[in-house]
Amino acid sequence: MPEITVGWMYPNLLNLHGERGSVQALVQVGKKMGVDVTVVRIEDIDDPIPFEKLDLLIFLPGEIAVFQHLIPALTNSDLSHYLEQGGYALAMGTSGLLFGKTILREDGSVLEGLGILDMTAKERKYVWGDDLHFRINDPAMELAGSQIMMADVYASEPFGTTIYGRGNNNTGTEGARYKNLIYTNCMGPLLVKNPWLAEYLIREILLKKSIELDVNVDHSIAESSLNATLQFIENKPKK
Amino acid sequence: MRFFITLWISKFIAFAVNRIDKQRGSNYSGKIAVKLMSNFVSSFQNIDYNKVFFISGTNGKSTTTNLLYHTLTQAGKKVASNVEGANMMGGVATTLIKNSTLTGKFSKEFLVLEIDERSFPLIRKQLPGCNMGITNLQKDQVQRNGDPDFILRKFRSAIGKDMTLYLNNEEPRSLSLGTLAGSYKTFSIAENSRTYTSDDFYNVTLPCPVCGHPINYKNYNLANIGPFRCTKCSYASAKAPTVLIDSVDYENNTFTCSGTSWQVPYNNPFYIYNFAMCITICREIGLSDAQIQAGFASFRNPASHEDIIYYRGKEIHYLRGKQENPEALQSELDVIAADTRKKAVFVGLYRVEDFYPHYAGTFYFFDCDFQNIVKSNVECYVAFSQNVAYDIASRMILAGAPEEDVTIVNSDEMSQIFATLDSIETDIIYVLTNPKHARVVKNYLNQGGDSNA
Repeated sequence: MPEITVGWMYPNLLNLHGERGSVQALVQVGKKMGVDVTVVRIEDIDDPIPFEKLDLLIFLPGEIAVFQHLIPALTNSDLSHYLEQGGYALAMGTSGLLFGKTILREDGSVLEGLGILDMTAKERKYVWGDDLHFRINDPAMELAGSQIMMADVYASEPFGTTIYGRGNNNTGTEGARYKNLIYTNCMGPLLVKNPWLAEYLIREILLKKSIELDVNVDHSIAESSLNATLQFIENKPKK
Repeated sequence: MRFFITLWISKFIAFAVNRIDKQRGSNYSGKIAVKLMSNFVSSFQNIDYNKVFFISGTNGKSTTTNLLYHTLTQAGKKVASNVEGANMMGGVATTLIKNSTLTGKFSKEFLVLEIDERSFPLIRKQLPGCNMGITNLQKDQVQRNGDPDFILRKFRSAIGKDMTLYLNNEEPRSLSLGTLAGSYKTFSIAENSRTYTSDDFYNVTLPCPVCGHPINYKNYNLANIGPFRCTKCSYASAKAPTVLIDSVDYENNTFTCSGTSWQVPYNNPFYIYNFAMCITICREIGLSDAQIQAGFASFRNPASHEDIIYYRGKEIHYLRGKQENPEALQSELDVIAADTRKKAVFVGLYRVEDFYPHYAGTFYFFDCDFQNIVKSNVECYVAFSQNVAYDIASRMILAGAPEEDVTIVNSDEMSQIFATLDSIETDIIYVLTNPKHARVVKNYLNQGGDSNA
């Protein structure tokens, strides 16, 4: 059975919005595809990260307050090298801000990010929560879920284009991408509501290992969920 | 002069609202007063700030406020409180309007106020009360609050050295506020029959509010509440809390505190923490344990979360868990999991429609553990409510519920939701929704039911 290994980054520190469901969804989608998805928890900032064993890093949303501890540790790790070499990483919600250049906090202080994404962020005074529906081109697919925006984001290379929702900053852009690092504001959990993205990631990772899968995966519940969400978006009351 | 005119107008409005409908407009007069005069609350006289008690936190603030108000009143104290639940500036203003003379003199001895977490800094600026109980700080209303740190920062900005805090010794975020105050008291629940540990691979805790490293729990009394210790720094639950609740007996509604047995009317872990905070505060005020016990014994919570309704030959346990609040929802899920009889489980979470924009997020359900329900002898599951039923079903299936046992009803129509009821073998049914839909669900079940327990 093909195998991939996922590094679940700092589960107790990046712990918000039920996104741990995305980790479970990766395992479930892998199972449907006949792929053994092993998840390794990277518990603490001081713990070594076994990049050579990891096919995908997953960063779930967390409080910006912990980033001041995470950024120095990640800067001193081989994360940049891993990503430059084409390693896969998925960052959801606020955790995407870790990879940008700067985060301007509401109190006026500036937090220097990892600088891997050409992106800056400005913390919002008021939280913005809403549904999110957007399109990506590579691979071509539509994704939907929710977004809880703690910061407005300005990215030079967005991950997608919004169909509904605020996205990065209400200008039609959503998330950011650099090589195989994907940042999205979309949650739901992301990979529960959009298992086709999980399937894409698993297929891409296996392709890198010269393994091509010939399986059709049933995502019928998620497809019905997408339709139900879009129906809600279409009919939702305007202000 | 402006204060007096505003006060008289608002007193007249309060009188008129009370004549028209006592149940409605619980904070209407205060809202008008604050609109007319933004610093209205700060202008009242005769308030002893040492006898002002703010009660705030994510879960349990309404119950604790009601409990404290009831216990103090039963003990013969003159107390004003916003027990109707209007917990922002307008609600505070309304409480003062109703409990003051025509010249703006506060007419009671104690002021017990439930306070919305976000409103606390603004309220304390105008009403510098010296005491505050914080039940816990957990994930809640993310569309407004984002994350718990957002609320923690609000509290940090307004807590001063002139304050005494009453804090849950087993909840890391709120306990961390203690050092900002002049003094703080803590309360704990000792290990009991509902205390649990988690070896679930997907279990997550939280970052230490002091150093940012992971928090470890020795065990849990509630989700993310239990004796804890930071994995890196020395931050931990205090070894000797001010008040310790011991020997909790959930069967007989009793616990032990300071060596004596206490009988209480409600008994889930959230309630026990609420009782613990109330004991801590009441002792500080000077009430005897006998007075506190008398208050507890006669306390009835107006906002119960559980009913049993008999409907079409089924015993329906109807539970309510707040939206966007995984810990409160978990508490209700734990009730279902604790019943090992064969049962059917209906869950409807609905869209989040508190304010614009409404949204269809149910991600907070994925912060809850559902696998204990799956292991608790479930015949079948029904995931319902329009637009979000599929996501509820996904959560159930990820936790191990067999897909073939999950019925998805993408509808809010009660007749469709309960259409499968007759085909369910077991007579024990659990229905879980959020409180906002309680009236519709209860009306439907009660109208067609055999009797209402």
